[in-house]
Amino acid sequence: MVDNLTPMAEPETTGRYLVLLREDAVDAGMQALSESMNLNLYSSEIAENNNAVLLSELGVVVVEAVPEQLSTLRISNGNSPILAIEPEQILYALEPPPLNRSADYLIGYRDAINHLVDKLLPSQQTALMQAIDEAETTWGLQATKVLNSCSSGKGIKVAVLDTGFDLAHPDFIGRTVISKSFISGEAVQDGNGHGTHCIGTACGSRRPTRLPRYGVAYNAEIYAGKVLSNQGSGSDSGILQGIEWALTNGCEVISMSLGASTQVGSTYSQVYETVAQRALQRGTLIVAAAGNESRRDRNVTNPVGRPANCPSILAVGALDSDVQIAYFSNRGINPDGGQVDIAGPGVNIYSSWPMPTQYRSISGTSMATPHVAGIAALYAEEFGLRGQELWNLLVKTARRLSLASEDVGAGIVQAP
Amino acid sequence: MTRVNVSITVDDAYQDQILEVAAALQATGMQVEQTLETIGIITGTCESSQMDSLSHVAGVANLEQGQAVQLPPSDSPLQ
Repeated sequence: MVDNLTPMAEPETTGRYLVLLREDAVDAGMQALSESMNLNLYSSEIAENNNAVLLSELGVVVVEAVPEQLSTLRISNGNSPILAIEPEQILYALEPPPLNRSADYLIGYRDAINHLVDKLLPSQQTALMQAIDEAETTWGLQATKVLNSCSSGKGIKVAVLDTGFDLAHPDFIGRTVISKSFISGEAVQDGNGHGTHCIGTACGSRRPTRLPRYGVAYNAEIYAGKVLSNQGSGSDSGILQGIEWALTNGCEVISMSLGASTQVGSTYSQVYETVAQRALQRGTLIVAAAGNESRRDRNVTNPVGRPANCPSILAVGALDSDVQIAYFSNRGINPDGGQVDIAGPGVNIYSSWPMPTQYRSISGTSMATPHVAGIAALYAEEFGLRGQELWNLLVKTARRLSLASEDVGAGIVQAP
Repeated sequence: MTRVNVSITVDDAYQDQILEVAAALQATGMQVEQTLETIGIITGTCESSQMDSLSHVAGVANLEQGQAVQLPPSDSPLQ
């Protein structure tokens, strides 16, 4: 607004004039101009001495004059050989003048270096900020936009098939927890910790007894199926019983932070694939950990484990807080569905642990999986989608990363 | 002889007759432990030499040897 009140500056002029001659009367114009200035402009020597330039192709004469000298030339009628007279203005280049090639090269090189430095420095600062601010919520919930979500998983049943659950954990008092053990001679009560940690990430409280918040679907109904012993071991038989139990109870999501390593060239289990297809048809999505057998710091990558390598099971890779692939996270190496479908936070993940420890931070694709399962419950609540449609929505809404799709699939899972 | 765990996928067309399929497997030598009607799977044990004949029982779509999973030690930082 202030600029509008500033008067326009007068254009700078050179003291010379541009005289535009009529195209069909250049000679007559030159003659008239010569007479009025009392100079013979036809003589190039005289013209040069008087700073006059004839641009014959354009029909323009540039002359040095005082206004009075040109006043007699003022266009009096339509037959005048002079069409226009304007003061010559000083113009400035809008772009720098062209330099020679080596200078251009050096400038381009300098710009590229500056661009690179600018690109690297802010991302380092952002990463540092992300890493330290876990006072209120874990980095995993921040990176997956869970905090901004209006959904809570209300009315959605999430089965976590693992080592059971600490049924006395203070953060879950008042929650609906349905549980069953498929381990002979062992109660659901989690004597390992792995299951309590995974349930905490998928379904933990919005307001835990101690901050930070670490759980995604804080209103989901928890189905804790113990298919792994307190020693962390299990069998296909127990896992399949757990899936059967979850389907019978109408769970919309099954989270399985378990699996066995596979070899390059091996194919998937037909049993788990058929079960997963049947589950999808019934509206149940099975999410499983891609596995931790890679050692990327030593350039070792291993294929997605069993049963996450089934085409109809959503395989989850692990990311760190810089949103880089975790060094241990397996890769989509085998054909036949052995790819990573999506990625979630899986390094230094803080969540619940059996009392009296209460909380613990650990890493693994086991920790990335319940992030995806919990977020699946949020989408299931908000959009009412199930099975394959729920899968498609998770993949569609994942944030794309500048990382290989063999490692992160569609990218990092994002809450609705 | 080696006793093995097996998981059997029951063919879609036999989903309504899964108990009959389980009985037929039992008669062919399998020790049936679980008949999972919702997912259409039968689990149990058999002698490894019986796997081929079990896979030919009517209603069996697939027979797979059961596998185990094992988490890292509970105090490991990597899970």
